[in-house]
Amino acid sequence: HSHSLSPPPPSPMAAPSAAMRKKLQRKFRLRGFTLKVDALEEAAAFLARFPDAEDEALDLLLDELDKEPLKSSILDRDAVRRVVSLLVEAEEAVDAASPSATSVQSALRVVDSFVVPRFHYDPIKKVFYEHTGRLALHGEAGDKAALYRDRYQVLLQRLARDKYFSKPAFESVMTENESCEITSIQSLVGCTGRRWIMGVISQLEERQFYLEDLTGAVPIDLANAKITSGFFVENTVIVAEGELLSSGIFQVNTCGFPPLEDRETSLSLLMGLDFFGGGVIPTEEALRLSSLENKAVNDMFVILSDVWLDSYETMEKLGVVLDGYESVEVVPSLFVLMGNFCSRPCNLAFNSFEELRLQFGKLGEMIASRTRLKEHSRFLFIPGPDDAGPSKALPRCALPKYLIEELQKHIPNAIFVSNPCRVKFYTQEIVFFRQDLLYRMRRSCLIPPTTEETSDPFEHLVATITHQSHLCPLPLTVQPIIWNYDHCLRLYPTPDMIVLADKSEQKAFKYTGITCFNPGSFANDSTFAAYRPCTKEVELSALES
Amino acid sequence: MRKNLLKLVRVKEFAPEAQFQDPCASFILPNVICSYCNDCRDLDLCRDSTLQGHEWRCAVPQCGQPYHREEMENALLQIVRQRERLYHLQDLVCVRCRQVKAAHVSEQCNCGGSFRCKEEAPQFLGKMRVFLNVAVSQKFELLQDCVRWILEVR
Repeated sequence: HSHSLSPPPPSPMAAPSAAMRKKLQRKFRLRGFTLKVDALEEAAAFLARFPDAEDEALDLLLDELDKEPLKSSILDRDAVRRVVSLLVEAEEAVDAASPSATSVQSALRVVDSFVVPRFHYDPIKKVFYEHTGRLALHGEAGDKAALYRDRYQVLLQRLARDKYFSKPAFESVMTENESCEITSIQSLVGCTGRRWIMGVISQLEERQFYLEDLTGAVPIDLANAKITSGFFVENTVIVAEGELLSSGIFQVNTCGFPPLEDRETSLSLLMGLDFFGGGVIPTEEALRLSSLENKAVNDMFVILSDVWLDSYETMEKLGVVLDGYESVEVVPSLFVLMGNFCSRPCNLAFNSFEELRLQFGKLGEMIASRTRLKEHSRFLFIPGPDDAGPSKALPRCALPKYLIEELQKHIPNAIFVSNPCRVKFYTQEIVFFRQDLLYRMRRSCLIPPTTEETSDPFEHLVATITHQSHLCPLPLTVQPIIWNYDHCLRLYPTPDMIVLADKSEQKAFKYTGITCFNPGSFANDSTFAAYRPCTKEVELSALES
Repeated sequence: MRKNLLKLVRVKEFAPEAQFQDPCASFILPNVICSYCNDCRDLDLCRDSTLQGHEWRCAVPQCGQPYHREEMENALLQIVRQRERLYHLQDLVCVRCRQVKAAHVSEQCNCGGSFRCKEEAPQFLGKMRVFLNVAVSQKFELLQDCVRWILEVR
């Protein structure tokens, strides 16, 4: 979208009333400013745009002026006009059309998985390029291979930039200990001595694991492997150091996940490519949005997972939470309600769909009765793994229209989105995922996780998904994925924040600049979470029983 | 005889065109129980004319009561969900040597052939269309929403 950078011409209107003049002079003086006559008129004209929210607009104007580098405390028209145009731009930017829904009051963008752009890596040109054309939900055989190849490529190109793994420019400069060049599996044949390989763990034969890369596959022996933190699960990509034995088996001495890349580094290399899906922000714009983000001290997100609409206790508890937030000074800007929305999974035994639809309607009534929340908060609904819908494969589409129609009557601006989904708050990138990952990852481990760095399974989980740059690196047989939509589950560049809603106990963990938390199960444990995007603070909360 | 007939129309024996395609797509819903008389039978949703476009009722003459709608809709929904899941879990087979693909990353079989799905998308979606037709004619709204998503139609 494009918008004019010059301030809008002042609209011809009646001069501000005496009462207005007095009010403005007083408010500005309280903040240490003196208004010149033309500045006062400019300010009054700005306020006139918001007849219902004059005080708020005035506060906003004063806040922005405080932050401006001003030469003196006497404000002339230009000073005020500059700030007014900044605020008007921000408002216009939010209104611009985009494939993702935008919130009215803040730069909140919600991105459904199914509209996230897909990129492929060209290893020759060493660039990513966007996939053009339709992405079929039901792909062809080649699409399944592409899923693994694309995942591998993302990690390989990242590894190539890591200082320990990049090919040395001059052989003589690096000693063997400092640099570990990756050997392609194809060229491993006939090699002796220590080598580094990178591949996907695959069980190609019964009871024999292999590592597969883009060139071939080699059987591996992990019996004596020393591992780093994380869950080493079949289908994860690992970097393994070891030796090819005469038996043809690659004996692994040490192995770990591909090293992380700083978010800023990844972003700088992907300039202009919309990996997240929230739209590309030009640099000047990014700085402005960043400053708006820092000032958004009142914005808060409340996240609840497992909101069982068919459970009287859960709905009562939800009422308590809503009442609590209805009465605070500034209501939360966003409520994220995640599934499962029913205590019973969608299977052959459960068929009370009409009842569920009415229960969603009751939820709508419940929210609407809290008038301040209905007026000022946004409500985002993300389905859980057992909620009714066409498929259990990921990504999972938004809740079916039939179930949510009654709720929409009460909360017309409610947002229904896929699982996982992405939310952009100014420049901050947040990923929401509802999945009982912890239990499944622990069960699927090939090697028990090392307790050297941590014994907290949640920390192992966070380490795994961030290093794999993938929300769900489980074997496809355990968790099916729609072949052409694997990119929606990727975490590259690493987002600012990941919400991993899991039925295990609530937890928060900050790992190399990424914040990751699990709000816990609201239905089972009465726990939820509050998040302040401005400070990136997570408040793990619980209702007293 | 089949070989000779195909030779006449110049179609290779194992080509896709030679596969038998039932001209009337059909679907059998197994073990449908009547909540009134406990009769249990399979229903052929496409071939059975008594089921087309009418409210589904128990076929036992003395009963004739309507089947439980939500139960029927759910039975169909679960089949749809299961088949959808199986699509993404299916084996890939080599077009040349017919071996099932074991590797994940490679694009070619060891014999040099490329792979294809055991159940290809057009066949799968054709079967799904049967469910959509049933859902529309029986006014199963949730089932409709779900199958429309699978078929990528609005």
